[in-house]
Amino acid sequence: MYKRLLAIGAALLIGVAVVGAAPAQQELVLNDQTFRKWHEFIAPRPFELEWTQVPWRPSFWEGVVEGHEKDKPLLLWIMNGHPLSET
Amino acid sequence: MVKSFIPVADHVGVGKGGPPEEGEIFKKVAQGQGIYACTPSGILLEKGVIGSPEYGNLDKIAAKFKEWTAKYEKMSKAERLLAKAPAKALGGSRYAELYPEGGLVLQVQTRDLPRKPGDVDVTPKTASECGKGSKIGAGNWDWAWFRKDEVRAMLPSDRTAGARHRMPESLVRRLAMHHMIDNVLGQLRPFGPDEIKKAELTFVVERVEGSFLHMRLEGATKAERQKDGQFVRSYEASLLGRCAYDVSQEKFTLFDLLAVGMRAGARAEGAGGPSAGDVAPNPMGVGFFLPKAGPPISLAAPVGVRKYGARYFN
Repeated sequence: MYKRLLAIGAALLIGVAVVGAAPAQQELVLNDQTFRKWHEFIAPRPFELEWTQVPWRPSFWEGVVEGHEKDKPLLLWIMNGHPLSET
Repeated sequence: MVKSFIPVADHVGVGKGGPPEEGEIFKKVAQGQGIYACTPSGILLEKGVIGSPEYGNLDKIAAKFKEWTAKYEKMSKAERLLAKAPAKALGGSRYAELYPEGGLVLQVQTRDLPRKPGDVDVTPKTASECGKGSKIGAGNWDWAWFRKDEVRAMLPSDRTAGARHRMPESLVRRLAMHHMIDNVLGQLRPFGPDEIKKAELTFVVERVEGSFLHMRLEGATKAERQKDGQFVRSYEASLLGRCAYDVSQEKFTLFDLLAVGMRAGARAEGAGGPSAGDVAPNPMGVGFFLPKAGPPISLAAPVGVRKYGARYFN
């Protein structure tokens, strides 16, 4: 009796786990119908691109050369990883 | 206000292995990550800290710019400029000789994808929503480069509707090694060549309109790293996209390629904190798009070029 209850309980748990996992897995489908949804989700959002409104020169030396030519100070954005690519 | 400055973005490792002049000036100014205002001669006007409350208020930022400009203008030219004009050829856009002139530059976006139904709606849509609630939607950014000869190799020679052409495997492997990696939470080394288990991408001509080839992209990749027989990390994805190529101009006018699949294992080099335990298989996406930003930002090199130079193209 106890073993039977245990088996039923285990089956129910497995069933719940399978049913619970299925919707998330089913959503991870890339096809013509889901392409637009994933594109909107993955592509940079406008607020993530606001920093590109500033014409960052991609190397320090470029800034030094141009700053000297134009007699302007430099605004430096320094990160571990290049700020304009992977950080 | 920004027009009164020369805005520059660079890696904290400037000067290491580079021209001596660049390193000498840089180390007078910058010590670690941050925002700095300085003269071309290397006199620091001020250092700020990224994320500091002082820089979270537009009025305070505007006041800072005015303050730095005033400091700069108080100095003599002899102080604020170099003794002699710096040579342009030195350093320059550090990887200028590798830049794929006439080729293809893509903006790469990696992104954590929803882990449960309904998470799509939780993604922050404005900067002010970031940090609140779900972190789903976190991502990183890079560039992918293809030389002009490589772009030609991507394209079908048969330019009729229905024609299929497999992108050279070496080029798909570049995407799989360097760009289909889980750098969502921070920098991550590329997969090694032996760790790419599958790398396929096919261009299918859907229609031809004048000089434009409209194509569909479809494929799959799989990469897995093991160390001493133990699983470290992996990413397996389906690829789907569309592009348009102007044969007369020899350039893409549209390029939207998505990779959607499951990542597993270690996230980011030396990642600690919340990411340390986040190793279970979970969905991740990668997008490859034509850049929205033009030069000088789009001249920035992929991290693979910065680390491996010309070997990025191999």
